[in-house]
Amino acid sequence: MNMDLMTVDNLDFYYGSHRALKAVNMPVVKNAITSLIGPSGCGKTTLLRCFNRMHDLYPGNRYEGAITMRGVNILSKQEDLISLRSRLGMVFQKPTPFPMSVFDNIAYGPRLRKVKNKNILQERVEKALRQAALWDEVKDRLNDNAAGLSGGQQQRLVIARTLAVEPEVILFDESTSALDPISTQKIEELMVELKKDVTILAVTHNMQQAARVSDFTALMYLGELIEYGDTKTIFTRPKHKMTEEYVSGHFG
Amino acid sequence: MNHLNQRKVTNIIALSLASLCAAIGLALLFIILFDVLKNGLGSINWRLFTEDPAPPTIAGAGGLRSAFLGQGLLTLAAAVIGVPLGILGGTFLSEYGRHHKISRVISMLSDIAVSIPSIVIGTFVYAVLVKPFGSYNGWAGAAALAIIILPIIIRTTEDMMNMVPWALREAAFALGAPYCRVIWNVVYRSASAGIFTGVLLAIARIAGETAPLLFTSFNSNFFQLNMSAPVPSLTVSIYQYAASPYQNWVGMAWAAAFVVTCFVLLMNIIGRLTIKLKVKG
Amino acid sequence: MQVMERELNNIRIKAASMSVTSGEMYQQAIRALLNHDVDLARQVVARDRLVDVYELEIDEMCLNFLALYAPKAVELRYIVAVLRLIMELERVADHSKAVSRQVIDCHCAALMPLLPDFETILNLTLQMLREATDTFFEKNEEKYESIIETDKKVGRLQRDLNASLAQLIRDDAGNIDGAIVLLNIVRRVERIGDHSKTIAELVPYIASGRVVRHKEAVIDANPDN
Repeated sequence: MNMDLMTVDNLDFYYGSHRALKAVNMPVVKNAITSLIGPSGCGKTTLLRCFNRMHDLYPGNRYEGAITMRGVNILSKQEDLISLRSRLGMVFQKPTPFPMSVFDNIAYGPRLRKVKNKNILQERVEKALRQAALWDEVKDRLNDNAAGLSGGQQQRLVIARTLAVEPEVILFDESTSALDPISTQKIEELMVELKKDVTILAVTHNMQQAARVSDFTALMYLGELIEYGDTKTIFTRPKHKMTEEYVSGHFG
Repeated sequence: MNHLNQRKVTNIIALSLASLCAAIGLALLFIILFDVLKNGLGSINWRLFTEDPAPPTIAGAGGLRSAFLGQGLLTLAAAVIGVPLGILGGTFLSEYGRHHKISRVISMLSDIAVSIPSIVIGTFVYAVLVKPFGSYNGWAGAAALAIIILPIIIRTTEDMMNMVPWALREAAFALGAPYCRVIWNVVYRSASAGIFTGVLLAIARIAGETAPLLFTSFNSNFFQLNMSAPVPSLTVSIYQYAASPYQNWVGMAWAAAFVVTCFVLLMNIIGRLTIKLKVKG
Repeated sequence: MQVMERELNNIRIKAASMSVTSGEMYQQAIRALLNHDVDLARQVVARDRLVDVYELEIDEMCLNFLALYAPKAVELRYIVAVLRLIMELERVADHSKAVSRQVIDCHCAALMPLLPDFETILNLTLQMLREATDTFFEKNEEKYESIIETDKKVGRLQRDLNASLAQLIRDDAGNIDGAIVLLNIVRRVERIGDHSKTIAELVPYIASGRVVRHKEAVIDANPDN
């Protein structure tokens, strides 16, 4: 049942000459939530951004090693980034609604893929908003500017926008750190709900969040993967001394 | 304690000097505005906008209709040439070329170009677009004005696009959007108010320019809007009328100056309101 | 959070199953004792292992729950209470097993008809245990008072039984083996009553954090009040 969708294989990442990831190895289990935790600057976000090749937007970045998905190394030069990024969606730290209506925000991805038919677009938008548990709140204001939504709603809008592209994987980059507890809880519930359809990889500063929602947890420190395992094991009897100290709040 | 007092004194001196300078600047500005208002308001009448220039000896006749239209035409043509070029140039600096050294050089050159005296641009265009063709022409005037607004628009576009948070671009990239779509759908939309303001301010800047037109489109006393010939110009007319010995021409120059000042002021106010309402939210 | 609720419910279900098993073990031990049913006694001894497995499983579930969900207030108290509950239930099962062992090992039936209170104390403690676990899972605080009453009665019965057994030994030294076995059984039965009382005392603790055991103790669990 626990099938690996992706495997990170001896991954090194360099910002110019700075080696930010050091020989990282870990699986990403399909239809599960994997959390990346660790103190600031440990490389967890850097690792996350390797999966959808966000680092390619900036010059001087270099990958070594592989992230394999269905036998293909997605870090290879031949990989088509546009298609890769539609398979691996990303939700950022702060909500990033585009300066357009709620509807146009969600329809952005499908429109990029040349979906022009009004009815199909309408269906896709509704489906994505329902999946993101936002439909009831915005169904009467689809044509309002997305900037008018609350922070938590905006973040669910961004999730819906990502879902409208129908990705296999969603990468969450500290996606609840800018939200209030109620919105955070909604997003967490949503993540658990979404497991049915997608595989989730989430970076979080909030250890409790990793404990609450994730099935697997990886602890990173100074660019290295210290320990990867079942979340229950990581939080009750970790193998590594450093994990023990980190999850009990003694460092980081 | 002594130390503290010393700092207080320094502070007071600096503050009073700065306030004084600001007061002098503001006072001069208000004197000019008041002068234009006082002299212009008295001479303004409908004939100014409905009649073409007439010889000064005919009292109570003649206006500057052709000059207004000509000036508008020149400004419009300059905007049509300069705005797209400027926006695309700014886009290159902020997006495609942001990691290249050349964009920093261009950016710096644009800053310098903003402060080049407009007469220099006028003489340059004269050499390139007037001399070879043997006559003053409207296109040369439009070109000179376009050259003036180009660096302004390039720099505002660049600045405004740089103000769009990177996270927003990344969000669009993360949906699998190609760069051109990211710029077109997301960055331009976010920066539109700022860029619009930049364009308005640039137009306001050239609407009152005289020097670059003197050597290029010059002026015409006839109602004609053929861009291949000298085109009537409001600012050049003001210059000529104001320097003339005829009382009614001088009056008309004041009135026209008043209208131009109002236009520039209006553009500036609209521009600033837009940026206040839209960009800053 | 739905996941948290689901997990909490799993713990509740498992703890309820464990309490049913322990209760049945005690009931069967009583039946084996009264009817001198050695086969039934063997079954009870075998079932003790099941209760041990329950204890380990629930212990692990609570540990995970505490680690993963960091519960607060009522949920935290509930988990703490469950951890205590399973300890008590495990002790109840141990005593039931020990009583059954006595049934297997020796004939102690001879003296029982002479002690009418003996069956009463067995039934009273069984009733206490049932009421206590029912109270725990139904969060019904009303039964608590009646359990305290029953516990006092059990204490009196134990004293009387001890006196009667001592009298039997004094009357006839031949009663000594049987009396020692019964003394031991009475002690264990009384302990089961105590465990039941402790379980019942967890109910107000879950509801409000109120500590009702050791009323005589001077330590105030709620120094602000």
